[in-house]
Amino acid sequence: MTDPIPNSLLADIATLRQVVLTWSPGKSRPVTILYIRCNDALVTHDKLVTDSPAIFRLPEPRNGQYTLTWAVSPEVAVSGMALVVLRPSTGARADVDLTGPKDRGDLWSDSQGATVNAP
Amino acid sequence: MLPDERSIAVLLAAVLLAASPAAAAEPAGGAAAAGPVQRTDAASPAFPAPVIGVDELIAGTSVAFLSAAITTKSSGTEFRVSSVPLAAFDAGYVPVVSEAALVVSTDTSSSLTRLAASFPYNPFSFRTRRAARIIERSNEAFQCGKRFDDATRACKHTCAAFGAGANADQAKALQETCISQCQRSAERELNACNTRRFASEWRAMNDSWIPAASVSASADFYPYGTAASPPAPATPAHLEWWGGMTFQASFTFRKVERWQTDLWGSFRPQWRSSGAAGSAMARYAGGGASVSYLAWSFLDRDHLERHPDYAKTGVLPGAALGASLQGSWCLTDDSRCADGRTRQVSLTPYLDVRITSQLQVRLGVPISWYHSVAKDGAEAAPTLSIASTVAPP
Repeated sequence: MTDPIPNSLLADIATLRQVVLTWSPGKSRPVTILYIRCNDALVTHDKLVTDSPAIFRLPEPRNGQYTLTWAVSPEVAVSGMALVVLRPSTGARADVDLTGPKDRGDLWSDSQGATVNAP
Repeated sequence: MLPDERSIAVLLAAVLLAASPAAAAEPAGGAAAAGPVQRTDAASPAFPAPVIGVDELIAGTSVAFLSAAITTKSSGTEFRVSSVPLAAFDAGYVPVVSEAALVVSTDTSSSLTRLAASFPYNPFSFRTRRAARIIERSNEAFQCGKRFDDATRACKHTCAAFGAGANADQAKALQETCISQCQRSAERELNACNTRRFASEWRAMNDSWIPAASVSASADFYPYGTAASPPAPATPAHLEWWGGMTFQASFTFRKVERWQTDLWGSFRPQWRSSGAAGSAMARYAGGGASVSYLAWSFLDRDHLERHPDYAKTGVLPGAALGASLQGSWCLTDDSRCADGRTRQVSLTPYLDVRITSQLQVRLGVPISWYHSVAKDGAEAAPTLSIASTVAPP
């Protein structure tokens, strides 16, 4: 049996928050993330993800909140997409937005920004 | 039970109607419906009906989730529905299996109903690793998201200088107006960039020496029942309901986007061309080759953002010219061959008008030559096909 992991090594995980893009059907259905911004920081851009979900680490929240902007384009048709913020250490979740069916080439975006309380 | 021709006609009409651009704009079940995806996942949906001739392709070249075609010939009308059922399920992509297609067709000229299954290897699918490499290259080249991010930063930087000399409220209002207009312009550019990026992927996908390969099998059925026997009209004879099997292998090449070449060979171990009482089965071999070229494209390559349908479907709108050469040989005793014809060759020049993926029209004139026990001959008859696919197209 391995030794317990010291708390000093787990400290980063306790505060870790992630933005998760999920879509359905999601197996072998590529999606291009044109960009995801969080509190004026670019989280990712022009990235292809072939299977749902796509997970990216977020910076520390500002005033306990995240403001997200994004543009996402499926490479094949999907029946729905959602964007959520997760805190894995507690399992808490903040729903950012969701959309219905999107065809290849459609753009799902919000450049004004959706604000959620950091989970 | 054999499908009634009238009910299939109604089904086709419904499919064609459902696939119209107006219907496609509003997905069934409302925008939030999370049902199965009823759209194409794969490559450019080509014309879903094969070129008519003496040895046609069984499954056509469409890879859409659902496609339908009506072909009007001098002798009757053929209805065809093709589907890739696994496209509707959330499962990983497995080459060949994921694109297995089922085809049902019925022909009023011969009362033939055909059920077919086709198993294609499709290198043009957007769910393959090859496609992922192409998309990644395209993302890297266009950098639409990065450009948008740079543009919005520049907007904020530029607009921050607005309102110098004005009071704080006026300056704030001016800056907000400036940022808002600048942002809208950046969003338009993001949309245009993204459409151009998608369009570029089609060219890269279709530009390959790797052919799509397919094996297909079909079972043919004629009406079941009895009819007056010509030699003895007073004595009803059983109709021949079983038409036999056809096995086919085909290759589709698209080295250049505007060209498409199909090659195929088929074998019918025991097959009959008619369901009439007493019609005999015979062994046939055949094959064909089709070449089409998009001679006149409606697409403006310099402004691909104006063609969102192309970005979505890969269908190059325009007029394509094509020709299909087909041959069929009867390999058994001459007396068993259909109409006594031991070999037939056909050449079908055709014109495809591709308006959108939902509406394509084909005009063809098959000219066939045959050698029979009694005589040699030739015949020609114009045909018209109207085809549609359910796609995001």
